[in-house]
Amino acid sequence: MSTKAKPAAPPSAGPRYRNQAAQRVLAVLSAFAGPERNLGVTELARRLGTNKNMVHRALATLAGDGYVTRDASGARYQLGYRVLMLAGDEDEFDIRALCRPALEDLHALTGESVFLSIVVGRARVNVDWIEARGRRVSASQRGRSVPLHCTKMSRALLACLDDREIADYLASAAPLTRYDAIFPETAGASAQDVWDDIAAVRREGLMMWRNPQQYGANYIAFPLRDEAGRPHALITVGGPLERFGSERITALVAPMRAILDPLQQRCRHIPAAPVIIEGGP
Amino acid sequence: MSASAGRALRILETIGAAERPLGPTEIGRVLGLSPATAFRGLDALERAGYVSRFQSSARFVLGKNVAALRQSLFIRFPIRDVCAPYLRQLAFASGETVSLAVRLGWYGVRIAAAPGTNEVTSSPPLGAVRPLGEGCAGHAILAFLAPDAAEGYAAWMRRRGGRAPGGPALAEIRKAGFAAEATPFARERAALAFPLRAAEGAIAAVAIEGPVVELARPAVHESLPHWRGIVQSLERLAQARPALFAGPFDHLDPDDIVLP
Repeated sequence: MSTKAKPAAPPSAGPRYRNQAAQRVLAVLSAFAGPERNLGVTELARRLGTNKNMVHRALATLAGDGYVTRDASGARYQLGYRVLMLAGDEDEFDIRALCRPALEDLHALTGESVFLSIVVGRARVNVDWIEARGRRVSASQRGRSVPLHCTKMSRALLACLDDREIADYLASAAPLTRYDAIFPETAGASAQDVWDDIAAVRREGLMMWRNPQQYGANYIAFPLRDEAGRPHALITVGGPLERFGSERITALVAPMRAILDPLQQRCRHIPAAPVIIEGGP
Repeated sequence: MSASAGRALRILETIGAAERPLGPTEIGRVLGLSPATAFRGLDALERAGYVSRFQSSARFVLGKNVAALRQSLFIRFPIRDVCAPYLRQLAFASGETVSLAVRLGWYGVRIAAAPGTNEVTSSPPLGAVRPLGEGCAGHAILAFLAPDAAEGYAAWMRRRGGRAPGGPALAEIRKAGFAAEATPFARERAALAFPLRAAEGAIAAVAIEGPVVELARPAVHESLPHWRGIVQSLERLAQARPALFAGPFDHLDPDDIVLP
């Protein structure tokens, strides 16, 4: 069988392709996607700007297939079990899927680049990101793994490990200056510098950092941990200094926290995957 | 109204069940519709955000509004959030994907899962549904239902021309405290499921979906007490805080829930 499909008419093909009856039923179904759980006929009609008779008929169609059901009171409708069976490929334990909406919200809020990183072995690796447009903090070095003591963001993840793991890591990573040429922003660091950063992240619950390089960038990073404090991931927002200055970041902390709070809450209830700090090089 | 809307819903289900993007011709063939009729349904679905074009082609996949609907429904199952840490613990302990199946009428529906750490794991989609008489998760629920509910299932199966698992099989599951199920790719080994019991009987099952035990001697695995301990702590929570384990369809008559 040939898999080559005939080109379908574009969605703007005009009224000939409109299918208003189906669209009305789908609009009624869509009204149930949201925080309001149970809806009555009058409310649905008002919300959709249509008449009650139309809503009744749409609900009858949807209820016949189990897409909506009567709620426990019998007076209103709720989403039906058939919706569960529209198989999605989403995986709620996939940290990328879990964090993606928050990354989008943070990007929408700040207009800056947003990164999601996790611990892989002895390094921090970006597993998802949204890049800002124009002059921006870039994600061009995709898949680059950054040792856990290099860059302040890596240290924010390192801070989520326990002290013994950190000590083991630092011992195995010595000399800590080995990667200075690649990560000049944290060049010349001593183990004490790393521990100081770790203490700061643990105290503040976040990491704010301005790259001292001229024309550099400003960052704010939030660890996501489970109940035991183990790291799921780190979310970083970074932008060029002239646009994403410290004052602006400070003003954005509260709205960023509002976006991240529900995600952090959810992450707390899910045990993080084990982190395996391998031995020395 | 209902004919075209019904067609749109069938098209949506067809796309949801497909393992690859589908175009109007293929959908029309599956549902016995002309490509033009299939396209009109797709057009309505696309406008409503229920399907979207795969890489700007004329083939379609589920759209983001389906995810929004599913999410709206999933949040009505607080049991998913409550169980998540336990599923994850069990997945780390066993290496296999661990899932939660809740009772929905006379079916078990897989509504949460934690991926295993083994090299090869398998994982049916969330929302996968089977009658309680099929599979170890359903059996674990069925064996621990209140007696009148178990009889209700048997009667429902008889009306459908099927048969419920026999009394001795269910008694054996009750005795072991879990149900085992041969895996298709490792015949001598079995997946297993523990019931999650509330005051009035089993409400769900926690399944270790990989071939973790020997089919002939499932009860001798050295980790079984540990796995069982994790599920039992969840069960204690279910008995102490039943509201966390309530589902949005508990008020429906099981006989009224009929799935394709």
